[in-house]
Formats: sequence, C-alpha cells, structure tokens
Amino acid sequence: MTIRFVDAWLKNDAKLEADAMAFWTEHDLLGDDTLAEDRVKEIAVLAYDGEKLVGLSTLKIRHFDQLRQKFAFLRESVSPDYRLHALARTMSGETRKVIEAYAIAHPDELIAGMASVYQAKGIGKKPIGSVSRMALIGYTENNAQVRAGWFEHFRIPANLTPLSEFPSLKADQ
Amino acid sequence: MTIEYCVAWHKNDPRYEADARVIWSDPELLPDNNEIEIRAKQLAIVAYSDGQLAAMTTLNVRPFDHLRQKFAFIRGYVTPAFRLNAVGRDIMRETQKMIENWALDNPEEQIAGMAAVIQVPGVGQNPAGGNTGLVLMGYTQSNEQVRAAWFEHFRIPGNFTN
Repeated sequence: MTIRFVDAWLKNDAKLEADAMAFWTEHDLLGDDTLAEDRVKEIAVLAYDGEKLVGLSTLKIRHFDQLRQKFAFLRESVSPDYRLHALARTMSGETRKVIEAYAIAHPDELIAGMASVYQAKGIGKKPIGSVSRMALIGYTENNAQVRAGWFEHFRIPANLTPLSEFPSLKADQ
Repeated sequence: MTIEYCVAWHKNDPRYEADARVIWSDPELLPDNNEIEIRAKQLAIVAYSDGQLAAMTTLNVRPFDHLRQKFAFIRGYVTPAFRLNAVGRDIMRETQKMIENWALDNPEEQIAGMAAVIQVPGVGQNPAGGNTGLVLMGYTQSNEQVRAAWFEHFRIPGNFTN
C-alpha cells in the first residue's frame, strides 16, 4: 500500500475540494452544509491510496489564548479501513510540513505553530508526538488532550504586551 | 576557564550545601532562612571554577496541575562574574540530563519532565525551547513564561485521554 499525500492548503482546487466533500459525505462526517462549505476551504493535506481518498486534514488558523499567539488547529479524518496503518500520525507530520513552510513564507501572518485537540480515544499516551512534534500542553474542560508544536523559526515578538485577561497557568513556584 | 559540573541531587553533600548557603544568605536573594534550608535539600547541579561556586540549580519536584503530572521545577543561579559566559545554559542542560536519568532510574517517582518559570527579563523569545527543549506552555498570573520539557521515556499512565 502506497499512500500519496497531496498539499491542498489554500489551493482552491475544485477536484480536491470535491473529493473532500465526497469523503465527508461517505463517512457521515458532515453535520451542517454551511459548516462543510467553510471547512472545505480549510483542507490542508489529502491522503490517496491510488485514486481513492482515504484521509484528510484541515487547518483552522485562530488565536490560542493559552499561548497568546496564532496557531493552526489541526483536525484529521481517516477512513476506517486505514486506521490501523498509522495514517493519521503520518498525515499530521505531512500537514505540519505544509503549514510550517507556509508560515515561513508568510511571516506577516504570524502563525506560531500547529495545535490539536485529541478527540479520538486511545491516542496520546506519548506526551510528545514523534512525527508531528506536538507536545501535550493541557486539557480541555472535557478532558481531551490539547497539543501544540511551536515552529522552530518563530520568535515571541519583543513588543508582546502581556495581557492579564488571558488565562494563566497555576505554576508559580 | 574550566567549569566543573557536579551532581548534588540527593547527595546531602555538606560542602555543596555550605557553598550554596553562602550565596543564598544575601537577603536580596532569599530573605527567608527556612527557604535556604529547603533549597539546600533541592540542590541539583553545582558548578565550580577554581574551587569557587560559579552557578547552581535546584529542583522542586511537585505536581504540575495543568499537565496533570509531577514535574521537576528548576531554578538556577549564576554568580555575576559568570553571567556573560555560557554557564547558565550549560548548567541547565546538565541538570536536565541528570534529572532525566534519575527519573529513568526511579520510575516509581513518576517524574514526567522538567519545568521552569522564567523570571529573568529578556529571555524566552524562542518558544520551541532550543537545546533545552523547554517548550513555552503558557503564562503565570504574573505574566511569566511557564516552560516544560516532557522526558522522552515518559508515557501518560492509565486513562490517558478522554
């Protein structure tokens, strides 16, 4: 089995978007048509086995309050037939390469890293992802793991003004 | 200049503790005598140059609520004469290596990594941690950076997700 990963990030490629929509429909992953239209613009990497789409990732860029920077939030969907092949892990690494290269090429966007909320059961025993290099940095209110990986090139802006309204960690020594 | 890094962790070495107490006796550093005794038992690495204490680190092992595991919180002190050298960076690395090995040798202690609250202004622009691997995890209520590095060998025990 050879999986081919395709960079779909901001490509607006009609075929890739149609494949993603068909994948989500086939696997009953679409709740709301409006949301689907937004999400299809967030597709990052598509994984093909031959001509068949077997997994995909999306990225949503938004402010991450805990880290006080903008992060690319990763979500992945993998066909049930491929879940035992570490496809999600490999795809997270491919997605990181895509968004890290994009962040370097677009410094004005100030994307500091890639983050994810682990929603699948049974993953997350290792606190640092060996492929995605996302580290466990906390938990949601629903006890899902929150992971983040800072991009190596990124530096905290010197003029960052700490804002007290952002959530803080209880870690005072 | 040759710096010798010595492991002080759990050694109860009277010389290391006495040398550290001399530095901590400066009331601007540690105004509380009780705190001096607590820190003396937390000494991790001491760095000497020509017999003089040049730098030291301490480790306070305690639960890090946010990460739901026990971490070794590092504090470091470099004497003024050595602040322009790489002593601060090197003693941090030596401490990390030492405590990671100690955690491996003492798995019942369940120490998941090393953490630090960055209290020195002007450091901490690289959030990925560089050589130390101390990744920016967030901020304290006083707006200080909180950093942590998970040990490679550590695995989240039990029901690790959801």
